[in-house]
Amino acid sequence: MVSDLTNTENKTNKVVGSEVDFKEIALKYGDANESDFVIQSLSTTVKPNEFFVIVGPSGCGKTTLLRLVAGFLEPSSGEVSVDGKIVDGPGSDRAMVFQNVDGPLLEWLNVRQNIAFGLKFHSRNNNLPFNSKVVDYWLETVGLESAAEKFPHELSGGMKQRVQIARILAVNPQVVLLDEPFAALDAQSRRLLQRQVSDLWMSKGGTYIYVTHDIREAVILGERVGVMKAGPKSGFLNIHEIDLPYPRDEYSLEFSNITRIIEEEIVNEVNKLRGL
Amino acid sequence: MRKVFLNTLIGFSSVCIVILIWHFAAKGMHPILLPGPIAVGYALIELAQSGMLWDAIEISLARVFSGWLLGSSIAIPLGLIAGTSISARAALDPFIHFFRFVPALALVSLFILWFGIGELAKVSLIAFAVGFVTLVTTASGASSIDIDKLNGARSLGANRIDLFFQIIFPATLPSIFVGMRLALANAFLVIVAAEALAAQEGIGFLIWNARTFFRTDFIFVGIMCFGGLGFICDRLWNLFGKTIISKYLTKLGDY
Repeated sequence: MVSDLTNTENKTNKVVGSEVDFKEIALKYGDANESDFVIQSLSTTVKPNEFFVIVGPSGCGKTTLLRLVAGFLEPSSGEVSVDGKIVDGPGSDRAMVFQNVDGPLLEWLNVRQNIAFGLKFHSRNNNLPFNSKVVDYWLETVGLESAAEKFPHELSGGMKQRVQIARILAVNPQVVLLDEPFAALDAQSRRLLQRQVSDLWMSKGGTYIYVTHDIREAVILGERVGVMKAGPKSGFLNIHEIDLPYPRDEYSLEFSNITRIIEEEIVNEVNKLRGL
Repeated sequence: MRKVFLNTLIGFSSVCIVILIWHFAAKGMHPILLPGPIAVGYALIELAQSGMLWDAIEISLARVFSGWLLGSSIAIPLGLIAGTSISARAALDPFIHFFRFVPALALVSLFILWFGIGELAKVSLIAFAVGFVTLVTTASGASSIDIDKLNGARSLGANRIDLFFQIIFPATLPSIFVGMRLALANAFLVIVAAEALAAQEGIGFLIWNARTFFRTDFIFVGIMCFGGLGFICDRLWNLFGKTIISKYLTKLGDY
């Protein structure tokens, strides 16, 4: 289809995902006391090329973890490292898809230009020639060829999220961060896009870290699902291996069992928070 | 199309009614107090035929536009910086919020003292009056850019310069556009003061000069000129927004 890509964005060359290591992470906002740590002594390792999903009660710091990996935020103590290199600031090796549907895209650029936008910086920073075929390739891969000349305000929520996905995958990130990307969409678009993300991960490779509050979504997508404790002083309560084949059968007994277990864990956490 | 026609008709009729009321109100009054629309029409023709009116319009518009552009070109970069850098804001804020409450009219004599009686004093006075409106709207627009827009670009490899020129500036254009639109009215406001002292031409001068000769009808012509020119300028600025830079202004409403 597209044979002369200078980068590795074609079907045969998979991205080699990085290992993401959280070591003794603690985080507080501003001048908060030690008792107000959002996250405390959190350590875990996301394996290279893994699809790792984070769930947990609201306010437990799921998004915060993603922001630490992206480099938008620094931990108060401890460190996040990607392939052994400590994260200091954002970089295109760790790109992020935001829950916010309208914010991240540039409303004055059309779909094609929005996808090219990040690739231009990435090419310049890595001394690569800018290859517009990469943009065409991603337009086609996420199914937006016919909307290429449209502007964000002319797109549906699902299409905007596909532009977000295309624009980050075009820069070949080793780590793909997704922060409740489909939470604002209708059930049908959500289902379609979950499938698309799963397929992209399997065909293109890369380490995916995906935050959601939807437990079914977590079990549909993840190889492992990390359940976080209720904050403050949050951390991982449990990390479940989802040993089921892809695509996941939502109506199988195993699927229901694992979903129920995770759901009960989260309900317990929420109740603990309420003092029940 | 019918709707457009109907709305134009409504607008036209409301103007006609107000002129009619003016006409009847002026009937019982001395023309020095309130000249009627017909008398003002004749005054307009008189001024236009002598050529005075065209010169006045030309010189006043030149002052308004120079001051407006000068003020905006200083205010926009400062507003972008104040809106996005917390330390720059801390440094600039005391001056911004001090001087924006100093009326331009209070500075007329000072500016003449400093910049002389030439064009510089008038243009800088207008620039002063215009600058703060544009500055505050620009800063407020720049500070409300979605953080995900900036973070998203940073995680795609954008550096600080990329962010400033390719995100912050274009994302602030709607606020800059509105700020400059409001500032244009300020420029018209101040031109009268600028031309009250030390001016030999311009619409403002025409108005002040007419006072000494009891030519109230000339004052009315001057007022009509300001209103009419302001109206046209505002429409042109809106047209500019709806055509040339429309893709940057999709977030703005229809007004």
